[in-house]
Amino acid sequence: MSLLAVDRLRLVYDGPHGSTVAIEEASLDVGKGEAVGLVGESGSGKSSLARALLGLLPRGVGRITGGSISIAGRDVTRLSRREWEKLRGRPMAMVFQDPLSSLNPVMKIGTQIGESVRRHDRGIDVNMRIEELLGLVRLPTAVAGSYPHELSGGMRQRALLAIALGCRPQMLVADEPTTALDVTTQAEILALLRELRGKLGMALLLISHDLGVVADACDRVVIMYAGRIVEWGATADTFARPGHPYASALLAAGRVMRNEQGLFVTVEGEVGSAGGKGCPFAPRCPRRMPRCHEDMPPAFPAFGGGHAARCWLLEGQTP
Amino acid sequence: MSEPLLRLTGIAKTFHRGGDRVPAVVDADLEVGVGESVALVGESGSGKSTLARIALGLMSPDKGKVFLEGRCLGEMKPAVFAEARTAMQPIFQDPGQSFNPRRSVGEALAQALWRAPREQRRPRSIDLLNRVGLRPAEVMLKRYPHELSGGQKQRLAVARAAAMAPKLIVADEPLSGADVSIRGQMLNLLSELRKDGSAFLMITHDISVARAFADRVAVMHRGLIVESGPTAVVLEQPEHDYTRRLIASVPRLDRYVGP
Repeated sequence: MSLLAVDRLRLVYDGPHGSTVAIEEASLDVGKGEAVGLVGESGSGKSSLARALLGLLPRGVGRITGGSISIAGRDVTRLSRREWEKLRGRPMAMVFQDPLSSLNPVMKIGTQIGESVRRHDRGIDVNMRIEELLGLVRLPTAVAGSYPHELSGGMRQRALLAIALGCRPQMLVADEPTTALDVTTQAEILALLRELRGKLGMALLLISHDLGVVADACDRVVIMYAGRIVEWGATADTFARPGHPYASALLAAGRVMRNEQGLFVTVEGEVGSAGGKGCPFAPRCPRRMPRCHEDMPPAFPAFGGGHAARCWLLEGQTP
Repeated sequence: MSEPLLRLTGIAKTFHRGGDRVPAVVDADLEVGVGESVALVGESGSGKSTLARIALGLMSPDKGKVFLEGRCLGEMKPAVFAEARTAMQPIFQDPGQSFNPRRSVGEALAQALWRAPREQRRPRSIDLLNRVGLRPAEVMLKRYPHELSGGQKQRLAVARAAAMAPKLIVADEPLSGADVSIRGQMLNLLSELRKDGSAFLMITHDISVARAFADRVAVMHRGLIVESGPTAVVLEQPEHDYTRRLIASVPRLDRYVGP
Protein backbone atom coordinates (compact mmCIF):
# COMPACT_ATOMS: atom_id res chain seq x y z
CA MET A 1 0.00 0.00 0.00
CA SER A 2 1.23 3.48 -0.81
CA LEU A 3 1.92 5.91 1.95
CA LEU A 4 0.52 8.67 -0.20
CA ALA A 5 -1.85 8.13 -3.09
CA VAL A 6 -3.23 10.99 -5.14
CA ASP A 7 -5.77 9.98 -7.74
CA ARG A 8 -6.88 12.26 -10.59
CA LEU A 9 -6.95 15.30 -8.35
CA ARG A 10 -8.61 18.45 -9.62
CA LEU A 11 -8.16 21.70 -7.76
CA VAL A 12 -9.62 25.15 -8.42
CA TYR A 13 -9.15 28.55 -6.84
CA ASP A 14 -12.20 30.79 -6.57
CA GLY A 15 -11.59 34.42 -7.32
CA PRO A 16 -13.73 37.53 -7.77
CA HIS A 17 -13.87 36.87 -11.53
CA GLY A 18 -14.75 33.19 -11.37
CA SER A 19 -12.64 30.18 -10.63
CA THR A 20 -9.24 29.20 -11.99
CA VAL A 21 -8.08 25.64 -12.48
CA ALA A 22 -4.76 25.04 -10.69
CA ILE A 23 -4.48 21.27 -10.96
CA GLU A 24 -6.11 18.94 -13.45
CA GLU A 25 -6.13 15.13 -13.23
CA ALA A 26 -2.97 14.80 -11.12
CA SER A 27 -2.10 11.29 -9.93
CA LEU A 28 0.89 10.51 -7.76
CA ASP A 29 2.08 7.72 -5.47
CA VAL A 30 4.77 7.64 -2.83
CA GLY A 31 5.66 4.30 -1.25
CA LYS A 32 7.23 3.63 2.15
CA GLY A 33 10.79 4.95 2.38
CA GLU A 34 10.71 6.20 -1.20
CA ALA A 35 12.04 9.58 -2.38
CA VAL A 36 9.99 11.22 -5.10
CA GLY A 37 10.78 14.54 -6.73
CA LEU A 38 7.98 16.78 -7.96
CA VAL A 39 9.41 19.13 -10.57
CA GLY A 40 7.79 22.13 -12.16
CA GLU A 41 8.25 25.79 -12.99
CA SER A 42 6.31 28.70 -11.57
CA GLY A 43 2.59 28.24 -12.13
CA SER A 44 2.87 24.49 -12.66
CA GLY A 45 0.72 23.79 -9.61
CA LYS A 46 3.40 21.95 -7.64
CA SER A 47 3.04 24.06 -4.51
CA SER A 48 -0.75 23.93 -4.74
CA LEU A 49 -0.50 20.16 -4.85
CA ALA A 50 1.76 20.17 -1.78
CA ARG A 51 -0.71 22.37 0.08
CA ALA A 52 -3.61 20.11 -0.85
CA LEU A 53 -1.71 17.06 0.43
CA LEU A 54 -1.25 18.70 3.80
CA GLY A 55 -4.73 20.17 4.12
CA LEU A 56 -3.30 23.66 3.86
CA LEU A 57 -5.38 25.05 1.01
CA PRO A 58 -6.67 28.55 1.79
CA ARG A 59 -10.19 28.08 3.17
CA GLY A 60 -12.98 29.32 0.96
CA VAL A 61 -10.56 29.92 -1.93
CA GLY A 62 -8.92 26.61 -2.85
CA ARG A 63 -11.34 23.76 -3.57
CA ILE A 64 -10.82 20.15 -4.53
CA THR A 65 -13.43 19.48 -7.21
CA GLY A 66 -12.44 15.98 -8.23
CA GLY A 67 -10.29 12.97 -7.46
CA SER A 68 -8.94 11.92 -4.08
CA ILE A 69 -5.96 12.02 -1.73
CA SER A 70 -5.28 9.22 0.69
CA ILE A 71 -2.58 9.05 3.32
CA ALA A 72 -1.63 5.64 4.72
CA GLY A 73 -4.88 4.20 3.36
CA ARG A 74 -7.13 6.89 4.80
CA ASP A 75 -9.12 9.15 2.48
CA VAL A 76 -8.26 12.72 3.49
CA THR A 77 -9.81 14.53 0.52
CA ARG A 78 -12.55 16.19 2.50
CA LEU A 79 -11.33 16.34 6.08
CA SER A 80 -12.38 19.17 8.34
CA ARG A 81 -9.87 21.59 9.76
CA ARG A 82 -10.01 19.86 13.14
CA GLU A 83 -9.42 16.42 11.62
CA TRP A 84 -6.39 17.77 9.74
CA GLU A 85 -4.98 19.18 12.98
CA LYS A 86 -4.78 15.66 14.38
CA LEU A 87 -3.17 14.28 11.27
CA ARG A 88 -0.53 16.91 10.70
CA GLY A 89 3.05 16.04 11.59
CA ARG A 90 2.33 12.36 11.68
CA PRO A 91 2.29 10.45 9.42
CA MET A 92 3.27 13.38 7.20
CA ALA A 93 5.38 16.40 8.19
CA MET A 94 6.54 19.30 6.08
CA VAL A 95 9.25 21.89 5.61
CA PHE A 96 9.03 24.96 3.42
CA GLN A 97 11.34 27.13 1.39
CA ASP A 98 11.75 30.02 3.78
CA PRO A 99 12.63 28.71 7.22
CA LEU A 100 12.52 32.16 8.80
CA SER A 101 8.81 32.62 8.17
CA SER A 102 8.03 29.08 9.33
CA LEU A 103 9.73 29.60 12.70
CA ASN A 104 8.28 31.63 15.56
CA PRO A 105 10.65 34.62 15.88
CA VAL A 106 10.08 35.14 19.62
CA MET A 107 10.48 31.54 20.74
CA LYS A 108 13.71 29.67 21.33
CA ILE A 109 14.48 26.81 18.94
CA GLY A 110 14.41 24.26 21.77
CA THR A 111 10.91 25.36 22.82
CA GLN A 112 9.67 25.07 19.24
CA ILE A 113 11.09 21.57 18.87
CA GLY A 114 9.60 20.71 22.28
CA GLU A 115 6.13 21.71 21.05
CA SER A 116 6.20 19.21 18.25
CA VAL A 117 7.63 16.48 20.51
CA ARG A 118 4.90 16.95 23.16
CA ARG A 119 2.15 16.82 20.57
CA HIS A 120 3.04 13.36 19.41
CA ASP A 121 4.98 11.69 22.23
CA ARG A 122 3.21 12.18 25.53
CA GLY A 123 5.15 11.36 28.70
CA ILE A 124 8.54 11.37 26.98
CA ASP A 125 11.63 13.14 28.43
CA VAL A 126 11.30 16.19 26.22
CA ASN A 127 14.77 17.63 26.82
CA MET A 128 16.45 14.36 25.95
CA ARG A 129 14.38 14.08 22.80
CA ILE A 130 15.27 17.68 21.79
CA GLU A 131 18.93 16.86 22.22
CA GLU A 132 18.51 13.71 20.16
CA LEU A 133 16.71 15.61 17.38
CA LEU A 134 19.36 18.34 17.26
CA GLY A 135 21.95 15.58 16.97
CA LEU A 136 20.01 14.01 14.09
CA VAL A 137 20.09 17.24 12.08
CA ARG A 138 23.70 17.87 13.16
CA LEU A 139 23.16 21.03 15.14
CA PRO A 140 25.03 21.68 18.40
CA THR A 141 22.88 21.24 21.54
CA ALA A 142 23.39 24.92 22.41
CA VAL A 143 21.15 25.88 19.47
CA ALA A 144 18.17 24.91 21.65
CA GLY A 145 18.72 28.19 23.51
CA SER A 146 18.98 30.35 20.37
CA TYR A 147 16.33 32.42 18.64
CA PRO A 148 15.74 31.99 14.89
CA HIS A 149 17.34 35.34 13.99
CA GLU A 150 20.60 34.23 15.59
CA LEU A 151 20.97 31.34 13.14
CA SER A 152 22.18 31.21 9.54
CA GLY A 153 19.83 30.11 6.75
CA GLY A 154 21.25 26.59 6.71
CA MET A 155 20.94 26.24 10.48
CA ARG A 156 17.34 27.45 10.38
CA GLN A 157 16.49 24.84 7.77
CA ARG A 158 18.08 22.19 10.03
CA ALA A 159 16.06 23.49 13.01
CA LEU A 160 12.90 23.24 10.92
CA LEU A 161 13.81 19.67 10.01
CA ALA A 162 14.29 18.88 13.71
CA ILE A 163 10.76 20.18 14.42
CA ALA A 164 9.34 18.07 11.58
CA LEU A 165 11.25 14.97 12.74
CA GLY A 166 9.97 15.57 16.27
CA CYS A 167 6.62 14.25 15.01
CA ARG A 168 8.26 10.97 13.90
CA PRO A 169 6.81 11.27 10.40
CA GLN A 170 6.74 8.38 7.95
CA MET A 171 6.96 10.92 5.19
CA LEU A 172 8.39 14.39 4.79
CA VAL A 173 7.02 16.88 2.25
CA ALA A 174 9.69 19.44 1.48
CA ASP A 175 8.66 22.40 -0.72
CA GLU A 176 11.79 24.00 -2.23
CA PRO A 177 13.77 23.34 0.97
CA THR A 178 17.09 24.53 -0.45
CA THR A 179 16.02 27.28 -2.85
CA ALA A 180 16.86 30.13 -0.48
CA LEU A 181 20.24 28.64 0.42
CA ASP A 182 23.70 28.97 -1.10
CA VAL A 183 24.95 26.01 -3.14
CA THR A 184 27.43 24.79 -0.53
CA THR A 185 24.73 24.92 2.17
CA GLN A 186 22.28 23.29 -0.23
CA ALA A 187 24.69 20.40 -0.73
CA GLU A 188 24.89 19.96 3.06
CA ILE A 189 21.10 19.91 3.49
CA LEU A 190 20.68 17.42 0.61
CA ALA A 191 23.30 15.16 2.20
CA LEU A 192 21.47 15.46 5.51
CA LEU A 193 18.13 14.52 3.91
CA ARG A 194 19.76 11.45 2.38
CA GLU A 195 21.27 10.48 5.71
CA LEU A 196 17.97 10.93 7.56
CA ARG A 197 16.10 8.82 5.03
CA GLY A 198 18.62 6.04 5.50
CA LYS A 199 18.54 6.27 9.27
CA LEU A 200 14.79 6.70 9.81
CA GLY A 201 13.41 4.92 6.72
CA MET A 202 11.42 8.06 6.01
CA ALA A 203 9.76 8.71 2.65
CA LEU A 204 10.35 12.05 0.96
CA LEU A 205 8.32 14.14 -1.44
CA LEU A 206 10.69 16.84 -2.61
CA ILE A 207 9.16 19.72 -4.54
CA SER A 208 11.60 21.74 -6.58
CA HIS A 209 12.10 23.72 -9.76
CA ASP A 210 15.71 22.55 -9.79
CA LEU A 211 16.29 19.35 -11.74
CA GLY A 212 19.78 19.00 -10.28
CA VAL A 213 18.44 18.93 -6.74
CA VAL A 214 15.88 16.28 -7.66
CA ALA A 215 18.50 14.24 -9.54
CA ASP A 216 20.61 14.34 -6.40
CA ALA A 217 17.95 13.42 -3.86
CA CYS A 218 15.22 11.34 -5.51
CA ASP A 219 14.67 7.81 -6.85
CA ARG A 220 11.65 8.79 -8.87
CA VAL A 221 10.58 12.00 -10.51
CA VAL A 222 7.22 13.50 -11.48
CA ILE A 223 7.14 16.45 -13.88
CA MET A 224 4.31 18.98 -13.82
CA TYR A 225 3.42 21.58 -16.38
CA ALA A 226 0.52 24.05 -16.11
CA GLY A 227 -1.44 22.02 -13.59
CA ARG A 228 -0.91 18.65 -15.24
CA ILE A 229 1.49 15.82 -14.55
CA VAL A 230 3.09 15.26 -17.95
CA GLU A 231 5.76 12.67 -17.18
CA TRP A 232 6.89 10.31 -14.41
CA GLY A 233 9.43 7.55 -13.97
CA ALA A 234 12.67 6.49 -12.31
CA THR A 235 14.99 9.51 -12.13
CA ALA A 236 17.74 7.82 -14.15
CA ASP A 237 15.37 6.69 -16.96
CA THR A 238 13.49 9.98 -17.12
CA PHE A 239 16.58 12.15 -17.24
CA ALA A 240 18.41 9.89 -19.68
CA ARG A 241 15.49 9.43 -22.11
CA PRO A 242 12.71 11.94 -21.41
CA GLY A 243 9.47 11.14 -23.21
CA HIS A 244 7.77 14.54 -23.18
CA PRO A 245 9.18 17.44 -25.23
CA TYR A 246 8.75 19.67 -22.18
CA ALA A 247 10.93 17.37 -20.08
CA SER A 248 13.57 17.30 -22.84
CA ALA A 249 13.56 21.08 -23.06
CA LEU A 250 13.75 21.47 -19.30
CA LEU A 251 16.74 19.14 -19.12
CA ALA A 252 18.55 20.88 -21.97
CA ALA A 253 17.91 24.28 -20.38
CA GLY A 254 19.02 22.95 -17.00
CA ARG A 255 22.35 21.94 -18.49
CA VAL A 256 22.65 25.38 -20.19
CA MET A 257 23.23 23.73 -23.56
CA ARG A 258 23.74 25.38 -26.93
CA ASN A 259 22.21 24.22 -30.21
CA GLU A 260 23.86 23.87 -33.66
CA GLN A 261 23.55 27.62 -34.26
CA GLY A 262 25.43 28.35 -31.03
CA LEU A 263 22.26 29.64 -29.36
CA PHE A 264 21.27 28.65 -25.86
CA VAL A 265 18.56 26.01 -25.82
CA THR A 266 15.29 27.50 -24.73
CA VAL A 267 11.53 27.08 -24.91
CA GLU A 268 9.83 29.94 -26.72
CA GLY A 269 6.96 31.66 -24.98
CA GLU A 270 6.13 31.58 -21.31
CA VAL A 271 4.69 29.05 -18.93
CA GLY A 272 0.99 28.91 -19.73
CA SER A 273 -1.95 28.57 -17.39
CA ALA A 274 -3.86 25.47 -16.42
CA GLY A 275 -7.32 24.53 -17.70
CA GLY A 276 -8.60 24.47 -21.24
CA LYS A 277 -8.61 21.58 -23.65
CA GLY A 278 -5.65 19.83 -25.22
CA CYS A 279 -2.08 19.57 -24.00
CA PRO A 280 -1.12 22.66 -21.98
CA PHE A 281 2.39 22.63 -23.48
CA ALA A 282 1.15 22.60 -27.09
CA PRO A 283 1.42 26.39 -27.66
CA ARG A 284 5.18 26.25 -26.88
CA CYS A 285 5.94 22.78 -28.14
CA PRO A 286 8.40 22.54 -31.05
CA ARG A 287 6.85 19.22 -32.12
CA ARG A 288 3.14 19.99 -31.72
CA MET A 289 0.55 18.41 -33.99
CA PRO A 290 -3.02 19.62 -34.70
CA ARG A 291 -4.54 17.08 -32.32
CA CYS A 292 -2.39 18.33 -29.41
CA HIS A 293 -4.56 21.45 -29.26
CA GLU A 294 -7.71 19.32 -29.15
CA ASP A 295 -7.14 16.31 -26.90
CA MET A 296 -5.03 15.78 -23.82
CA PRO A 297 -3.10 12.57 -24.52
CA PRO A 298 -3.33 9.64 -22.11
CA ALA A 299 -0.19 8.18 -20.56
CA PHE A 300 2.01 6.24 -22.97
CA PRO A 301 4.92 4.06 -21.80
CA ALA A 302 8.41 5.53 -22.24
CA PHE A 303 11.94 4.17 -21.86
CA GLY A 304 12.45 2.08 -18.71
CA GLY A 305 10.11 0.45 -16.22
CA GLY A 306 7.21 2.48 -14.88
CA HIS A 307 8.27 5.46 -16.98
CA ALA A 308 5.45 7.16 -18.86
CA ALA A 309 4.61 10.48 -20.45
CA ARG A 310 1.43 12.13 -21.64
CA CYS A 311 2.40 12.98 -25.18
CA TRP A 312 0.90 11.91 -28.51
CA LEU A 313 4.41 11.46 -29.96
CA LEU A 314 4.75 8.30 -27.89
CA GLU A 315 1.55 6.72 -29.23
CA GLY A 316 2.31 3.38 -30.84
CA GLN A 317 6.04 3.72 -30.11
CA THR A 318 8.02 0.93 -28.53
CA PRO A 319 9.96 2.56 -25.74
CA MET B 1 48.72 45.61 -22.47
CA SER B 2 46.33 48.41 -23.26
CA GLU B 3 44.09 49.87 -20.60
CA PRO B 4 41.09 47.64 -19.84
CA LEU B 5 37.57 49.01 -20.05
CA LEU B 6 37.02 48.68 -16.32
CA ARG B 7 39.71 48.35 -13.69
CA LEU B 8 39.14 48.07 -9.95
CA THR B 9 42.20 48.23 -7.73
CA GLY B 10 42.48 47.55 -4.01
CA ILE B 11 38.76 48.02 -3.36
CA ALA B 12 37.64 47.83 0.28
CA LYS B 13 34.22 48.61 1.73
CA THR B 14 33.00 48.14 5.28
CA PHE B 15 29.41 48.69 6.37
CA HIS B 16 28.52 49.84 9.86
CA ARG B 17 25.46 48.35 11.44
CA GLY B 18 24.76 49.52 14.94
CA GLY B 19 28.17 49.35 16.59
CA ASP B 20 29.30 46.47 14.36
CA ARG B 21 31.72 46.70 11.50
CA VAL B 22 30.67 44.45 8.64
CA PRO B 23 33.43 44.18 6.05
CA ALA B 24 31.81 43.46 2.67
CA VAL B 25 34.78 43.85 0.35
CA VAL B 26 38.22 43.44 1.92
CA ASP B 27 40.67 43.88 -0.92
CA ALA B 28 39.57 43.26 -4.48
CA ASP B 29 41.20 43.80 -7.87
CA LEU B 30 39.20 43.14 -11.01
CA GLU B 31 39.47 43.97 -14.70
CA VAL B 32 37.03 43.76 -17.59
CA GLY B 33 38.47 44.21 -21.08
CA VAL B 34 36.70 45.89 -24.00
CA GLY B 35 33.92 43.55 -25.19
CA GLU B 36 34.92 40.93 -22.64
CA SER B 37 32.54 38.96 -20.46
CA VAL B 38 33.61 38.35 -16.89
CA ALA B 39 31.60 36.34 -14.36
CA LEU B 40 31.90 37.21 -10.71
CA VAL B 41 30.93 34.06 -8.82
CA GLY B 42 30.30 33.68 -5.12
CA GLU B 43 27.72 33.00 -2.46
CA SER B 44 25.48 35.43 -0.63
CA GLY B 45 27.52 37.64 1.67
CA SER B 46 30.69 37.20 -0.37
CA GLY B 47 30.66 40.89 -1.34
CA LYS B 48 29.99 40.42 -5.04
CA SER B 49 26.96 42.71 -5.22
CA THR B 50 28.76 45.41 -3.23
CA LEU B 51 31.67 45.21 -5.65
CA ALA B 52 29.22 45.53 -8.56
CA ARG B 53 27.65 48.65 -7.06
CA ILE B 54 31.09 50.16 -6.55
CA ALA B 55 32.00 49.38 -10.17
CA LEU B 56 28.84 51.17 -11.32
CA GLY B 57 29.67 54.21 -9.25
CA LEU B 58 26.49 53.73 -7.20
CA MET B 59 28.57 53.48 -4.05
CA SER B 60 32.02 54.80 -3.23
CA PRO B 61 34.66 52.48 -1.82
CA ASP B 62 36.44 53.17 1.50
CA LYS B 63 39.71 52.33 -0.19
CA GLY B 64 40.80 51.67 -3.75
CA LYS B 65 39.88 53.12 -7.12
CA VAL B 66 37.59 52.39 -10.05
CA PHE B 67 38.87 53.26 -13.52
CA LEU B 68 36.67 53.39 -16.58
CA GLU B 69 38.82 53.56 -19.72
CA GLY B 70 41.71 54.74 -17.58
CA ARG B 71 39.85 57.55 -15.85
CA CYS B 72 39.15 57.32 -12.13
CA LEU B 73 35.43 57.50 -11.29
CA GLY B 74 36.11 59.19 -7.95
CA GLU B 75 38.05 62.03 -9.54
CA MET B 76 35.65 62.86 -12.34
CA LYS B 77 33.84 66.16 -12.68
CA PRO B 78 30.06 65.68 -12.38
CA ALA B 79 29.44 66.02 -16.13
CA VAL B 80 32.12 63.46 -16.96
CA PHE B 81 30.82 61.17 -14.25
CA ALA B 82 27.31 61.36 -15.73
CA GLU B 83 28.84 60.39 -19.07
CA ALA B 84 30.61 57.42 -17.47
CA ARG B 85 27.40 56.32 -15.81
CA THR B 86 25.68 56.12 -19.21
CA ALA B 87 28.50 53.95 -20.50
CA MET B 88 27.81 51.42 -17.73
CA GLN B 89 24.31 50.00 -17.47
CA PRO B 90 22.98 47.79 -14.71
CA ILE B 91 20.53 44.90 -14.99
CA PHE B 92 19.35 43.93 -11.54
CA GLN B 93 18.06 40.67 -10.17
CA ASP B 94 14.54 41.77 -9.42
CA PRO B 95 13.14 43.47 -12.51
CA GLY B 96 9.92 44.21 -10.61
CA GLN B 97 11.73 46.69 -8.43
CA SER B 98 13.77 48.40 -11.10
CA PHE B 99 10.88 50.07 -12.90
CA ASN B 100 8.86 53.05 -11.86
CA PRO B 101 5.36 51.59 -11.44
CA ARG B 102 3.74 54.85 -12.59
CA ARG B 103 5.58 54.97 -15.91
CA SER B 104 4.49 52.98 -18.94
CA VAL B 105 6.94 50.81 -20.86
CA GLY B 106 7.10 53.51 -23.55
CA GLU B 107 7.95 56.20 -20.99
CA ALA B 108 10.61 54.03 -19.35
CA LEU B 109 12.30 53.42 -22.69
CA ALA B 110 11.96 57.06 -23.82
CA GLN B 111 13.72 58.05 -20.63
CA ALA B 112 16.54 55.63 -21.37
CA LEU B 113 16.77 57.12 -24.87
CA TRP B 114 17.01 60.71 -23.60
CA ARG B 115 20.05 61.44 -25.72
CA ALA B 116 18.30 60.53 -28.91
CA PRO B 117 16.34 63.24 -30.77
CA ARG B 118 12.76 63.30 -29.53
CA GLU B 119 11.19 62.07 -32.78
CA GLN B 120 13.47 59.02 -32.86
CA ARG B 121 12.59 57.77 -29.40
CA ARG B 122 9.36 56.01 -30.28
CA PRO B 123 10.65 54.14 -33.35
CA ARG B 124 13.77 53.11 -31.46
CA SER B 125 11.70 51.93 -28.49
CA ILE B 126 9.60 49.78 -30.83
CA ASP B 127 12.76 48.40 -32.35
CA LEU B 128 14.15 47.51 -28.90
CA LEU B 129 10.91 45.82 -27.82
CA ASN B 130 10.90 43.73 -30.98
CA ARG B 131 14.49 42.71 -30.37
CA VAL B 132 13.73 41.41 -26.89
CA GLY B 133 10.56 39.72 -28.09
CA LEU B 134 8.00 41.94 -26.34
CA ARG B 135 5.44 41.91 -29.12
CA PRO B 136 3.32 43.47 -30.44
CA ALA B 137 5.66 46.33 -29.59
CA GLU B 138 3.09 49.10 -30.25
CA VAL B 139 0.78 47.54 -27.67
CA MET B 140 3.59 46.87 -25.19
CA LEU B 141 4.57 50.56 -25.21
CA LYS B 142 1.31 51.41 -23.45
CA ARG B 143 1.62 48.73 -20.78
CA TYR B 144 2.64 49.40 -17.18
CA PRO B 145 5.17 47.26 -15.29
CA HIS B 146 2.49 45.54 -13.18
CA GLU B 147 0.82 44.29 -16.34
CA LEU B 148 3.94 42.34 -17.37
CA SER B 149 4.97 38.89 -16.17
CA GLY B 150 8.29 38.36 -14.42
CA GLY B 151 9.89 37.11 -17.63
CA GLN B 152 8.57 40.07 -19.63
CA LYS B 153 9.93 42.52 -17.06
CA GLN B 154 13.32 40.86 -17.29
CA ARG B 155 13.29 41.32 -21.05
CA LEU B 156 12.24 44.94 -20.61
CA ALA B 157 15.25 45.41 -18.28
CA VAL B 158 17.48 44.09 -21.06
CA ALA B 159 15.83 46.42 -23.59
CA ARG B 160 16.38 49.40 -21.31
CA ALA B 161 20.04 48.53 -20.76
CA ALA B 162 20.51 48.07 -24.52
CA ALA B 163 18.91 51.46 -25.24
CA MET B 164 22.07 53.23 -24.11
CA ALA B 165 24.36 51.05 -26.27
CA PRO B 166 26.56 50.79 -23.18
CA LYS B 167 30.22 49.83 -23.20
CA LEU B 168 29.69 47.77 -20.08
CA ILE B 169 26.66 45.96 -18.69
CA VAL B 170 26.79 45.03 -15.03
CA ALA B 171 24.21 42.29 -14.53
CA ASP B 172 23.53 41.24 -10.95
CA GLU B 173 21.94 37.77 -10.96
CA PRO B 174 19.90 38.55 -14.08
CA LEU B 175 18.62 34.98 -14.38
CA SER B 176 17.96 33.92 -10.83
CA GLY B 177 14.25 34.72 -10.90
CA ALA B 178 13.67 33.21 -14.33
CA ASP B 179 12.09 29.83 -14.93
CA VAL B 180 14.50 27.26 -16.32
CA SER B 181 12.65 26.96 -19.63
CA ILE B 182 13.02 30.66 -20.38
CA ARG B 183 16.55 31.06 -19.03
CA GLY B 184 17.90 30.28 -22.51
CA GLN B 185 15.88 33.18 -23.96
CA MET B 186 17.55 35.58 -21.52
CA LEU B 187 21.03 34.21 -22.21
CA ASN B 188 20.44 34.57 -25.95
CA LEU B 189 19.36 38.19 -25.50
CA LEU B 190 22.43 38.96 -23.41
CA SER B 191 24.60 37.25 -26.02
CA GLU B 192 23.17 39.60 -28.65
CA LEU B 193 24.21 42.61 -26.59
CA ARG B 194 27.70 41.13 -26.49
CA LYS B 195 27.70 40.90 -30.28
CA ASP B 196 26.83 44.60 -30.36
CA GLY B 197 30.08 45.20 -28.48
CA SER B 198 29.01 45.54 -24.85
CA ALA B 199 31.33 44.04 -22.25
CA PHE B 200 29.76 42.19 -19.33
CA LEU B 201 30.36 41.92 -15.65
CA MET B 202 27.90 39.17 -14.72
CA ILE B 203 27.36 38.50 -11.06
CA THR B 204 26.02 35.02 -10.50
CA HIS B 205 25.95 32.17 -8.03
CA ASP B 206 25.25 29.74 -10.86
CA ILE B 207 28.39 28.02 -12.11
CA SER B 208 26.67 26.64 -15.21
CA VAL B 209 25.70 30.15 -16.30
CA ALA B 210 29.26 31.37 -15.75
CA ARG B 211 30.59 28.43 -17.75
CA ALA B 212 28.29 29.16 -20.66
CA PHE B 213 28.56 32.92 -20.79
CA ALA B 214 31.90 34.17 -19.49
CA ASP B 215 35.38 34.47 -21.01
CA ARG B 216 36.87 34.83 -17.56
CA VAL B 217 35.68 33.93 -14.08
CA ALA B 218 36.54 35.59 -10.77
CA VAL B 219 35.59 33.76 -7.59
CA MET B 220 34.75 35.87 -4.57
CA HIS B 221 34.72 34.62 -0.99
CA ARG B 222 34.47 36.68 2.17
CA GLY B 223 35.29 39.96 0.49
CA LEU B 224 38.30 38.66 -1.41
CA ILE B 225 38.73 37.51 -4.97
CA VAL B 226 40.30 34.16 -4.22
CA GLU B 227 40.81 33.01 -7.78
CA SER B 228 40.41 34.36 -11.30
CA GLY B 229 41.34 33.34 -14.81
CA PRO B 230 39.97 32.00 -18.09
CA THR B 231 36.63 30.23 -17.52
CA ALA B 232 37.82 26.78 -18.58
CA VAL B 233 40.90 26.96 -16.38
CA VAL B 234 39.14 28.16 -13.23
CA LEU B 235 36.20 25.75 -13.55
CA GLU B 236 38.10 22.69 -14.79
CA GLN B 237 41.30 23.06 -12.75
CA PRO B 238 40.38 25.15 -9.73
CA GLU B 239 43.33 26.04 -7.53
CA HIS B 240 41.65 27.52 -4.51
CA ASP B 241 40.02 25.22 -2.00
CA TYR B 242 36.86 27.32 -1.89
CA THR B 243 36.45 27.21 -5.69
CA ARG B 244 36.68 23.43 -5.57
CA ARG B 245 34.07 23.25 -2.84
CA LEU B 246 31.76 25.57 -4.76
CA ILE B 247 32.00 23.49 -7.94
CA ALA B 248 31.56 20.21 -6.08
CA SER B 249 28.39 21.53 -4.39
CA VAL B 250 26.48 22.05 -7.63
CA PRO B 251 24.11 19.13 -8.19
CA ARG B 252 25.09 17.58 -11.52
CA LEU B 253 22.63 16.71 -14.23
CA ASP B 254 25.24 15.57 -16.73
CA ARG B 255 25.86 12.25 -15.02
CA TYR B 256 22.70 11.18 -16.82
CA VAL B 257 23.44 10.67 -20.49
CA GLY B 258 21.43 13.21 -22.42
CA PRO B 259 18.83 12.56 -25.11
